[in-house]
Amino acid sequence: MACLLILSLELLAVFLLPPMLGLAPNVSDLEAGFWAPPSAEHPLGTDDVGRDLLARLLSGGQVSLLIGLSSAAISVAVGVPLGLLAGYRRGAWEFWIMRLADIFQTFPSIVLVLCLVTLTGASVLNLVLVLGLLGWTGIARLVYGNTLAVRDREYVVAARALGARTGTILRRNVLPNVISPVWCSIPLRAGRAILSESSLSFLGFGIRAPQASWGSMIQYASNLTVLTGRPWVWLPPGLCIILTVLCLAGIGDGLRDALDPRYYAGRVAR
Amino acid sequence: MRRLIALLMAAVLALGLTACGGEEETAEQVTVRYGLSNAWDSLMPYNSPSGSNYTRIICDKIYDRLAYVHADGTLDPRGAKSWESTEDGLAVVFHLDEKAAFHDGTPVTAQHWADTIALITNPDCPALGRGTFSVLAGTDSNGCAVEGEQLGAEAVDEHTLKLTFKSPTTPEDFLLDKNRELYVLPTHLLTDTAPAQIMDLDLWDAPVGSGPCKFVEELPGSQLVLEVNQNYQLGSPDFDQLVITVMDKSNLLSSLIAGDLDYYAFGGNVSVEDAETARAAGLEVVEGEVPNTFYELMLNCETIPSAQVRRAIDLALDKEALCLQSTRGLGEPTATDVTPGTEYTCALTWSRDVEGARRLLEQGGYDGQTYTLACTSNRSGLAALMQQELAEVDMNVTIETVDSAALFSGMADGKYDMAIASHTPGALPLWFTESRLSESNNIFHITDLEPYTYYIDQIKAASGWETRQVLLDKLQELLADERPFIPLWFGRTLHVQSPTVDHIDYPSSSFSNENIWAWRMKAA
Repeated sequence: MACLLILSLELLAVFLLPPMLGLAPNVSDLEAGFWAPPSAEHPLGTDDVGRDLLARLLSGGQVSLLIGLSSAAISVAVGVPLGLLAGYRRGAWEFWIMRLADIFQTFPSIVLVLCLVTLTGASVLNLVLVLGLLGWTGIARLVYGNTLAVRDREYVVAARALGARTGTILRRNVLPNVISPVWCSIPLRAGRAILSESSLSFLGFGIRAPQASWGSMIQYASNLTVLTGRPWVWLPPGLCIILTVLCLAGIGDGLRDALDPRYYAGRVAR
Repeated sequence: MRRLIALLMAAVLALGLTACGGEEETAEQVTVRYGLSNAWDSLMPYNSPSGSNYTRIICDKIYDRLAYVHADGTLDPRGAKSWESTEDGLAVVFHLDEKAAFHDGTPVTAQHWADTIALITNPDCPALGRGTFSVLAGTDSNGCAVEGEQLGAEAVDEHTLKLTFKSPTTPEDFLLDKNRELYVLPTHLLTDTAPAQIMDLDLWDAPVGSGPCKFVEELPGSQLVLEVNQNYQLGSPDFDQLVITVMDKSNLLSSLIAGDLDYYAFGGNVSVEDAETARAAGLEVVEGEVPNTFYELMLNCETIPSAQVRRAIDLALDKEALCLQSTRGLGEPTATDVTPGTEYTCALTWSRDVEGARRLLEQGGYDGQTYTLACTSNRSGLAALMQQELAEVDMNVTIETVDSAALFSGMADGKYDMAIASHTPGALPLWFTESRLSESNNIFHITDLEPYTYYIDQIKAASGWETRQVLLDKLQELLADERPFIPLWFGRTLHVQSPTVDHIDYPSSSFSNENIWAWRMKAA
C-alpha cells in the first residue's frame, strides 16, 4: 500500500508539478551559470548547460516512467497471446513460439537492445518499442506454463465439448485463470525497463538530446569531477530510480499476495 | 618424519622465494604506462582507414618523420637535420641525419624517403591518405603519380632528399601541413613485393621503422608494447618500455591519479572541471599557451542553400556563451578560421544580433523547416545550447547524437544540415580552408567552389607575406558573405603533468608528435 502511495505521489509530481510551477527543463539560465550548486532559484542546481536540474528531474521522470510502464504494457500485449497460444494449441505453435522465446533469451539483452536502438535511432518511441518487444519472452513463458496447467481442466474440456471456439475458450476460460501472475510481473517488468533505459542513457544510447531521463541525468556521474564533487547532480535521479523500482517491486509483491489464492491460503495456514 | 617433511617444505619455500627475488632483480625493466582513449587502426601509417590522430601518435613512435613540430608552429630537426628552399621556391632540400637507422640496423638514406614516396604515390599501391603527396610535382590531385611525369621526390645523394612541388612552397609551410603524414618506410624490406601486395605483408603486424621506439607486441585494439630504440639519432629516454593501453576517455585521469598510468595522450588534456580534481589529487596542471582547438559549425549548403539563412544562423549564435560552456574560459570566440597568434590576421569580428538574424531569415525565405544538428555525445550540451539560441530566432533544430565517424560521413553524404566539429588549428593561412573547400572533400556541399579555389590558389602562389595577407582578407570576406561554415572559437587546453615522467612537451602532441626521446623518469 505504501509503495502504491509513493508511486502515485511520484506520478503526480512528475506530471503535475512542471506545468504548475512553470518549470522549463530545456531552457538555460546563463545568469545562474553552468553547474551552479543548489540555490533558492534552482533547488537542485543547474547542469552543464545551465538548465534547472529540478525541472529536468521531473521531466526525466515523465520519460522514465512512460518508458517503463509503456514497454511493460507492450511486453504483456505480445507475451500473453503468444503464451496462451503456445500452451493451449501446443504442437507446432508451442514449438515455434517457445523456440523463438529461447532465441530471444539467448542474446545478451543489453547488447541486443543496444544494436536495435542504434539501428532504429534513439527516441522515446523506439525505446518503448524495443524494450517492450524484447521483454515478451518472460511473460509468454509465465502464461505458457500456467496455460499448460489449466488446458486440461474440466471446465476447459467442457467448453471444448460444447463446441466453443478456441478464441472464446482462451478469452473466457483460460485467460482469467492464468493472468494473476502476469499482473504481479507487470510492475517488475516496468522496473526492469526503467533500469534498462537508465543503462542505455548512461551508455549514451538513450533518448535524444535535449530531452532528459533519469538515466541520462545519471550519465553526468561518469565524469570524475561530477561524481566526486557535485552529488546534487546525480544523486536525486539515482534515488528516484531506486525508489521507483523498489515501489514497483513492492506493488508486484502486493498484487501477488492479493491475487494468488494459494499464496494467500498458505499464509493463513501458517 | 613429520619434522623432516616440514623442514624440507620450508627449505623449498625459502628457495622459491629467493628465486623470485633474484628474477625480479635481473629482469627489472622501467616501463612507462601510456593511456590512449581510442585504438589505432593500423600499424602501417599509409593504411589507416580513419587517418586519425590515434593512429598518427602510434606511428610517430615506430616510424621517423622529417621534423618535429612544436605547438607554436616552430620546427626542430628529426629525420632531417636541416632544410632549405631552392632559389625558385619550387623545391625543398632536406639534409638527413646520417645517424638515423631502421630498427634492423639498416641506415636510413634519402633513397628510402624517395622510394617511400614513389611507392605510396604508385597508383597500383592500395595506400590510404596519399592525398598528402598531391602537392608534389608529378602527382595528380589525389596524390597518385602521373605516368610520364617526373615525381617530385628525389635522392640527390645518400643523405640529401629533394622534394619538388607544383607551386612555390616554403619548407615551413610544407612541414607544418604535411609532416604528420609523412613517414619513412623500410623500403629495403619491400623490394620483392609488388606495390599492389604491399599492404598484405606480415611486416605491418610487427613493423620495422626508424622511430624512437621498436615494436614488441600488440593486442590489436587494446594494447601495444614498444621498446625504446637506444640508437635513435636524437637520443633515447631513460626507460626501457612503453606500454600503450586503450581505455575509456573518462578513465584516463582517474588512472593517472590512481598511479595506473604515467601519462595519457594527447598531452594529458583535461577539462577545467577535471583540472580541479587533478590538482586536488596532487597533480600539477599547466595551461597551454597557444590555441590548440578550433570549433566550427559545419553547414550543408545544399540543404541550407540561402547564404542569408546561413548568416542568420551565425548571427543567432551566442559564441561567448557557447565558448564559455565548452572551454570554461579557456577560449576566444572568433569570426574566422585564421589562427590567432600566427603571422596572419583577420580583421573580422563577431557579434550576436537576434533581430538581424530574424531579418536575414525572412530575406532568405526560411519557411520554418526543421534542421538536423549532428554532434558527438560529449557535445550534446553544446548542441542543446545552440538549439535554444536558434529557437530564439524561430529556427527549429533537432539534435542527432552520433559518433565522430558517423558525423563526418553524415555531413559528407548530406544526411545532416549542420554539425559541430573541432580541429587542431595550424599556423598556415589555409590550414582549414584548403582541404575543405576542394572538389575531393566538399564537406559543406558548396555548389560553386570556383570563387574559393581562386583565392586559395592565389594565396598558395603568392610569394610575399603582404600579398598573402591581402588575398587572405578577401577569402575571409567571401567566407563571411557565404558562410559555408561558422567559425565558433579557438580554445586552449590544460595539461595534467605526469607525476612520474619529466621533459614531456605536452602541447606539441596536438601535432601528433611527442618528444619521447627526451622523456626522463622523475626521481622517486
